[in-house]
Amino acid sequence: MDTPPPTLQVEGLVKRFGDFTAVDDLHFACTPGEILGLVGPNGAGKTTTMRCITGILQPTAGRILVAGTSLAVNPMPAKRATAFIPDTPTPFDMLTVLEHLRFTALAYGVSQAKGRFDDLLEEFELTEKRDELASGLSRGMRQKLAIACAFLREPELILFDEPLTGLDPKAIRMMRASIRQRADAGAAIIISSHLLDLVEKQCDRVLVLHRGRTLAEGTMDEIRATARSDGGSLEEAFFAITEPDGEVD
Amino acid sequence: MLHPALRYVIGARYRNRLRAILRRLKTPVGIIGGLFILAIGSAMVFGASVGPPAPVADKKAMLASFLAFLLILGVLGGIGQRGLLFAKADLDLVFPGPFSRRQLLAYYFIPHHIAAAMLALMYVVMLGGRSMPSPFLCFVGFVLCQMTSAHLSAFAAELSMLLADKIYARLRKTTIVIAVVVTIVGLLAIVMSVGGGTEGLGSRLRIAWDNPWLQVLLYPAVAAGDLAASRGIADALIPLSGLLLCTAGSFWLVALLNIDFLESSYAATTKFRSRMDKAKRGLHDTKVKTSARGPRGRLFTGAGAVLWMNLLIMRRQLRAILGGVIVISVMLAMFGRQSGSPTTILTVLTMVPLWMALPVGFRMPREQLLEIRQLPLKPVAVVGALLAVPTLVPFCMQVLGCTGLVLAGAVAPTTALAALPAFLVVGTTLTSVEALFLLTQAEPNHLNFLQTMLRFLTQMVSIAPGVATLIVAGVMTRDKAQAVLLATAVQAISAAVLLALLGWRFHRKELVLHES
Repeated sequence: MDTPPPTLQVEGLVKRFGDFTAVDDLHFACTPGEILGLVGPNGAGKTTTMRCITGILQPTAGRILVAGTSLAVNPMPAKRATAFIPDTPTPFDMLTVLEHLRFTALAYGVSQAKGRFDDLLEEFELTEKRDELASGLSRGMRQKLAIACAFLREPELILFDEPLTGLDPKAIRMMRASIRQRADAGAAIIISSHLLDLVEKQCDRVLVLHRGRTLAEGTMDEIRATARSDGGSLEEAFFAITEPDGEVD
Repeated sequence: MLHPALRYVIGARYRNRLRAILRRLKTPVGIIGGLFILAIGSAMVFGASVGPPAPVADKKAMLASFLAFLLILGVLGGIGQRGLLFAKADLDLVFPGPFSRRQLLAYYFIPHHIAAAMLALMYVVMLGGRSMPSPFLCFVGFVLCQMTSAHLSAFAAELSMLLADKIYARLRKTTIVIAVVVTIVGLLAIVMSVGGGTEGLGSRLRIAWDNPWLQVLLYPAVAAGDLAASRGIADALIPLSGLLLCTAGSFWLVALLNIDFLESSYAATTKFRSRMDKAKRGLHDTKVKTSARGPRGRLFTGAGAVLWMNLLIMRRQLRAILGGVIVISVMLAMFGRQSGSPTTILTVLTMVPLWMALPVGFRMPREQLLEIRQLPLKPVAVVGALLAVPTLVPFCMQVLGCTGLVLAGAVAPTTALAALPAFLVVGTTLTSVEALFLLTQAEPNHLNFLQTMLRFLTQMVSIAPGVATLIVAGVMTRDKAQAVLLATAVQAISAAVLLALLGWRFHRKELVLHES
């Protein structure tokens, strides 16, 4: 069977802030329907990589292709194809929940959006809050709103930075199912998280980053093989890879 | 030029803000606060229309100077921030969106231009603009000059993005020095001119504007002044065309540079917002030295530990406090120079606690207050410890002010001595009322202007017993010092009642956390 062309292709990505190198020569790809986990200790370069992919940060070197389009050369189609859900979403304080969805529909030219508003509000248990200003929402509700806005436009690439922060157990279960559903529908998904259990259960492949560099990449079995921890959890493999001498930061 | 989605966001923001204000106006707090604002506005409108009208040339010079001041600070601010400042939500929702650079620039400028129009409207309705030959042209000139200022500020920010880090660090320091000098010179010019000589501020500024260099460098401000003073279409044609050219030209400059400002603006906005959040919590520098020696003495045990914590917070923001002290001193000097009456100066000095918003005591975040409330300490002692610093710091400033007045021979030493207990009692009253409001109100102060107005009004009412006693005793005894002491005694009873009420409120009633 032919492998579909990757939705996201990162080639030799380097990002420096002054003398500090946050991301150093990163290569990876994410294909349609795949869930890729980005793991690494604090300061590994996960969020910087994601912000480069969204086009907010300019790479110092390297190339990012989204849906076959170079982000540097033709940013508009690449941005249209990408959704980014940050770890602490900050919605517009003075816009209601429904107005956020309307804004997203207008910004990304979503056709037949009105019909989808109610479904999404219901899916994310936001129906009762539809006319409430975002400033009055709890952290978990803001997270749900950000995800609803992202899902509204059915992007080809979805980037989650700590997607389960602030969610209650029921919402966590729903979110995991929702992520899998989007992947099954053909979206390429990247999840950056410190919750190794989530990554292990949810992701098809994992990329282990440390100080901006790739330490390991592959399926869960391949990661375990790299860490030489057959049958162990991702957590064990993670520490074996990032702290081979057992040192703790 | 503006993307429909961005237009929708701007419209929805203003619409919802207006609705929120109207909703608040229906509540008792809103009604009282609204009436108070209306009263202040009416007083300003009335104040601007009484007295002999100043010559148009003087008013023109004053308007041009004010706009020039804003223009200079705008450009310096642009250099200093090295990126355009957006809302925090824009970083998550607008920056990753499919918007072109020009669309984002238009989105950035429109709220600035709306704010400029509001400021211009205030100037025309409440201040000198109404008595200009053409208030409408005055409004147009004000808005166009402010638009140019916003464009030039963004252009300066874009230029500074192009500079290398080391060069920029040096430029930033120079910019800060110039900004501080311009601000101080501007304030001093006002202090020196208001009531300070035979010539008024307007005529002095008019002379300053004769300088051709100033006319060229600050042309938008000069043209706005000319436009405001023009008496017909023929007069208005040249300054209006000039201003339109400046506005369009400055926007063209911003668009011309073609810099991808997303990354710089992302960094600048994140830095600025985090600084603002820290400032709200009273933090300015998170890297501080922890003294190896802890608090010593019995004063700092028990509730004294709360006092020590407040003192520590104060010590860590001495720079900000000194800045505030300088601003308050300049304002006091202005009032003093204008009135020349020791009674007025002492009255203004009494109100210092109203102006010093120190982030200690009951102004601390509610989470921290909840923790303090749970400490196994006597309620009275805890309330005293929380009130001590925000009451005593303004009092120290009042003592310094009084000393200065005595040394300058403006106030008799006995009057100053009699005023000191009054300062302390009034300060305690004002701080207690504020604390009661802070404990009761549903949202933080900065979010509700009407709430702040109501608090201010209540603070004024709370010192009414002292003021009434002062007036009656002053008339009956004809001895100022005696009247002040009697009024202080009456006000002290009022303060004691308020303290008891505060203690009860803090310990007995529920303390609801603000939504973050």
